[in-house]
Amino acid sequence: MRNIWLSFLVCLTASGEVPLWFREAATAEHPKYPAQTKGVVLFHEERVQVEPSGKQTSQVRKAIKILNREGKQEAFGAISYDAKGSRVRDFKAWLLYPTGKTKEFTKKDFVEGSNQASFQLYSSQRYYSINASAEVDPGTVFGFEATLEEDRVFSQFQWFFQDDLPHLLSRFQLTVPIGWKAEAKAYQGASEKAEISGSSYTWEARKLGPVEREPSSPRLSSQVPRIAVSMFPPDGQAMTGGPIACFRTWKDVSRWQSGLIDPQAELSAAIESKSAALTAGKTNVVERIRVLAEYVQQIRYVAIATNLSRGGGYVPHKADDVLRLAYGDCKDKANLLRAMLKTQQVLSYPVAIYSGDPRFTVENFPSPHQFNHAILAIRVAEDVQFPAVVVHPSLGRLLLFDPTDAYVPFGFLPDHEQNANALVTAGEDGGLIRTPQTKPKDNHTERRWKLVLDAEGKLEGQLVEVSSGQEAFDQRERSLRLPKEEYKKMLEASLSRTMTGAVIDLFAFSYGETKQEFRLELRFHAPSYARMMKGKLWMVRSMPTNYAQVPNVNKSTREQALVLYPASFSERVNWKMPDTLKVDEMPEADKMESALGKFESWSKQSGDEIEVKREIEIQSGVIPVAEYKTTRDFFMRFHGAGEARIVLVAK
Amino acid sequence: MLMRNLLLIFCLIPVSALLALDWKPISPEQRALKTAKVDPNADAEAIFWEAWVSDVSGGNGYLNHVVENYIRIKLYNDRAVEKYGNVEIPYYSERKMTIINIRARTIKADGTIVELAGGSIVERVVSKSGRKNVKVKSFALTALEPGAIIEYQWTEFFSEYTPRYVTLEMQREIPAWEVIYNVRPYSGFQSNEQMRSYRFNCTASAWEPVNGDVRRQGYVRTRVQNIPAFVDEPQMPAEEDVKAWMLLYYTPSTKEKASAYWPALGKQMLWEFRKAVKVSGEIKQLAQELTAKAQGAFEKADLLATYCLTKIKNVSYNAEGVSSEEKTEFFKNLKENHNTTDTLKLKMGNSDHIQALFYALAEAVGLNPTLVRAGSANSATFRADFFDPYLLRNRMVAIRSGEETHFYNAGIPYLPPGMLDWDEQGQPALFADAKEPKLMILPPTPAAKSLLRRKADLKLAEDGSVSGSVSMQYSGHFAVSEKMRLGEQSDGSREEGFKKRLEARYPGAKISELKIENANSPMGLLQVNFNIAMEGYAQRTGKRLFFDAAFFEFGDKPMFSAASRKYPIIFRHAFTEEDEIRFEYPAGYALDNAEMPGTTKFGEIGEYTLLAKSALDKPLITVNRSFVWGREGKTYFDVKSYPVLKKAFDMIHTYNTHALSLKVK
Repeated sequence: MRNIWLSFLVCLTASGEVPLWFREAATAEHPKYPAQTKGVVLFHEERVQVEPSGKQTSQVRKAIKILNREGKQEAFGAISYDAKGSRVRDFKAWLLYPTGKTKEFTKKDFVEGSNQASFQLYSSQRYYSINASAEVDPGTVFGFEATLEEDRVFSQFQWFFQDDLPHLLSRFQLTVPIGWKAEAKAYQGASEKAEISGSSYTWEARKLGPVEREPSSPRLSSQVPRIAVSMFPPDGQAMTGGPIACFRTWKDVSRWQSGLIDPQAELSAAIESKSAALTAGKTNVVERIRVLAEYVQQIRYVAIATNLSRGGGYVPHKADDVLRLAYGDCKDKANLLRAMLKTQQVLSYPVAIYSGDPRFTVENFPSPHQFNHAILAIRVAEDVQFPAVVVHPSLGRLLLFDPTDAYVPFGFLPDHEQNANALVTAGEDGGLIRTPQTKPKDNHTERRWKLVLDAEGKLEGQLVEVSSGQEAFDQRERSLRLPKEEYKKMLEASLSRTMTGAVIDLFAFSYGETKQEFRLELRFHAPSYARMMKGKLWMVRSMPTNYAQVPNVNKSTREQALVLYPASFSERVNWKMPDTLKVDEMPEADKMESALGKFESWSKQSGDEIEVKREIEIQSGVIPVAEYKTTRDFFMRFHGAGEARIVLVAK
Repeated sequence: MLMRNLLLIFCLIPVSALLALDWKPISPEQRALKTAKVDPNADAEAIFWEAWVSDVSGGNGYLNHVVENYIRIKLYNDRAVEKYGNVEIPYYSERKMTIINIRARTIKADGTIVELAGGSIVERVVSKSGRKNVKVKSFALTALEPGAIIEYQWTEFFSEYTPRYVTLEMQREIPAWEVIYNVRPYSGFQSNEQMRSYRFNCTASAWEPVNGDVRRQGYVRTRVQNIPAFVDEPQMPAEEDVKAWMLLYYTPSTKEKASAYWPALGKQMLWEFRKAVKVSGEIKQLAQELTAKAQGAFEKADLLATYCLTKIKNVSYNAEGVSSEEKTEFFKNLKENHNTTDTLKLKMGNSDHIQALFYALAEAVGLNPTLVRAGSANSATFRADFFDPYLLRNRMVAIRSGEETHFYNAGIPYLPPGMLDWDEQGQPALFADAKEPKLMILPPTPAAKSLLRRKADLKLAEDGSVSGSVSMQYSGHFAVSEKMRLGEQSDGSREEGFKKRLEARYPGAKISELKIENANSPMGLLQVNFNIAMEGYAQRTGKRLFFDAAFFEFGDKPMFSAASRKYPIIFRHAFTEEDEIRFEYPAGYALDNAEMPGTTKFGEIGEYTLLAKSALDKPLITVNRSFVWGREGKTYFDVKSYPVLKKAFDMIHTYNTHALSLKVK
């Protein structure tokens, strides 16, 4: 009997160092993954318990097995919280070495810091973390557990079942107050069905493989399985106004956000005076809107984020403060413009949008959490025609404007905000809209080359490139972000990729405010452009440079969808060849048209002059894997037209 | 407790009172400026950057190091407004550092002054671990516009800290009209020590007393004017070797001569080093066993170094073989008086420990090792007129036999015995010989010792695709740098990583059967073999196939694209590349006007050859490429040589992309 007690005590000591959940997770069998897989998440769980007061207690548990040396950095655990109204109640972390030895980390190993993004001057968001990368080897299992208490206003949750690492078991559990209910929407292969026990709802996914993002594919967050969970109060209880804000429709979200935002756009004497000064002498309403929009657009972007768990992330600073300080973040800028427009009796509405991935926001999950950016919808008259105008069923014609983007002008919308679901925050009248999408021709680049090749293979040339739409805005941004000399060096380096030793002798660029076109003019020379063989055979690349907007389709197969942005391009090269040579071979004409676009290339010769031309139109879209082969063929043929050679022989 | 708090307050009063700086007047000319003075293309420039450096008594018996900063910047355009509008000042608890006295203001072109409002300075913890934390104080200047001047001040306060070396930055990323340092030399070190300064890459004025302000008694001032912005350039020497800066340091005030200073320092360094060298009976026995069959000093030394490299685990590197668990245990138990016997017993040590063990083993078999301290091309290089050990950053052991000297650094995992690391070649070094320490120049590694030998056996198809087998062999510095990179990766992912590098050079290529040999071993050549299949290697026209002869340089980009340059150019080491590529081409084709560049010599420095021969009996071309660079240790080029160097490398790029043509028969 004594011996039995002794062995029981030994067991307690050995397994007492790490919790049972961690030991069980650490010993779970997992499939064999490709050699480059850094690690496998054996277990990842978050349990959230919500009280009617809005107090939420979240417990996170995660166990990761390190699979190779590059994966050592994955031995990292962190919990993020708001400095105001949140408390990390508990934080623990452990290691289980392949030898069976264990280690528990202590408080001195944990790091606390600001979770501030690089674009923020200050954020009240903080983190508590453990980085065990220096202490792990392949085969080691790292685990951590954290408990967080928060005073939150929110009733919705998003759970991404995985990141790029494989996950053996990923689980989200929500315990709602008595009488409340929870509902989930599922995306990218996740299941919305929950295991329900009392007032606890559990969703889980198992055996998820690794994801390595391919070039030009949707963001990882739009590829991995996720659920969006909303909870609702008992029938008869108000959705908003209490300690927890609940949303069943987009109108609910609009009403709630309006309540937070509207008071911040109050007029002040300074706003009225500044607006009056800026619009003085402008009789046309659109011109008055434009001048105010452009003023706010040039205000410096500075983000100061506080009180995030209580909705602070949705509340702009007071418009008067933003005007006085002359800086603010996206919502501050949109709010200031809104206030300034009020002085002109122009109505406008804040718009929440997800910047960077138009596919991220889904319609069936009414929630403020689906957005990361704020722009403005300005009500305009019937005769106002701009690419960024949408027609709202009750608010009428709305011109969307992003005052944070310093380079996309009034009237246009950045490409990564086009064709996206966005929320117009207009109280009862608000709701989800689809932002407009430009056509390929709206984002056009036209290149005209005049090139003279001499008898030594030296090239002298000039280029005139005119771009419009997003192509022009991108060019404009590059030209403004870099000092002139740096910009020239960048262009020189770009030419040098296909023209060894290219030197720009003269260059000029301009941006036309009226046509929103960017014009670049270059004169250059390259000492040895032609490839010569015994002085008798010459080979010349017919198109001097590449067109960068064509996606990378080098790989013959692909596992993820391909994202295309609408653009069009046309290039014409007029060659003057040395009179000692004659043309032996010309690039062959080619043409193709499909749902994703069309292209055409051709060439013609007249004496020692050759003209080569190619053009392409790319439609916006997400190309599924099944259609990759056709897509690749399309772009490879266009690429081939750019690479095509002119062959010359001695006369 | 009350008493302690009172003391703290008392301590801080004189310090904070000392640190108040007045705003300097701003001239209408400064406000009216439209373009930059130092660099007309600059977005902004510092009108001045002034600092007051001192060591101040806090009244508690400790000295505090204090740096008061004051900068005035003229903003010329929107880029400058965006770049300089937010200011972040980091500070570190580990260095007992705080930031005080932050003040800032904007002076608009019309003369309106907008002070930074109280409460506008935010503080955040970047990271906090135990008692260590990194914090940042930041603020956003208001009312900014192109043409405005911004100025701000802050004081860095290092509590209970008096540094013996102080770096004064004279050049930053913004051009400056004037950088001024006011320093109050500290007199509290040993009585014969005094502050000295050394100017690196700048001609700062001689120190002159600061007069006219009673609060600044004892300060001396130096200044440098019209300083361009510091910019990064590819293949430039170490930043410390091109950027303007100054080092303050404290040494005895005796007037030394180089001929006396360096030998004395050599003896002192050897004495320090030998503290950890214990030639025990165990070490003697091991050294005898290891070298029992060896002939000559260098063979013995090579065997001893090989033992240290392969049998002693090096905890200074993240190489395979030492587990994190072992490392943690090692550092936990590391004694202050750790010596060579401990290293041997543990079979583990850091780079210094392993080097000391090699020294002890060499001494045990009578090889008379010499400790060598050398400058490094990786930081500010050695200056013989700078009487301080600060620039002797590297350490190795020399073994002499007759007129020949070989160098050993068993502390670097993949550096073969007898070879110097890249940053040590050609550097001045102090040979800390027990009898007669002296300065000498370390030899460069010949170009032939760092050889990249590559072979490809390829089949070129009519559709322009290529497929076949490839082998690559790295030696010398090529092998060291590759092994350092690959050694940090695991088996399997190492191959995957290499595959990705190859796929970047050969777009769309399928790489298979990739094998890497010797990646973990300090000894031997690094060998990589793989098969490749790639579409579109050759460009097809109606009658011809054009393809790049130098297969291994496919997609080569010019090394230097900028037409001009600011700083010298450095190659890490001399090297040789030797390639042999066999192209079997389709039977229905024949070479069309094939011509190869042949051999081009670049003076004494290098040589490039690209040749091809065609088989008579079958459709086969064999291309041989060789490139030698950096002969006679010429791996450093001043900025005046840039146009010639660029021309040479543009020519090499043209050769690397030289095409051959096959025509349908």
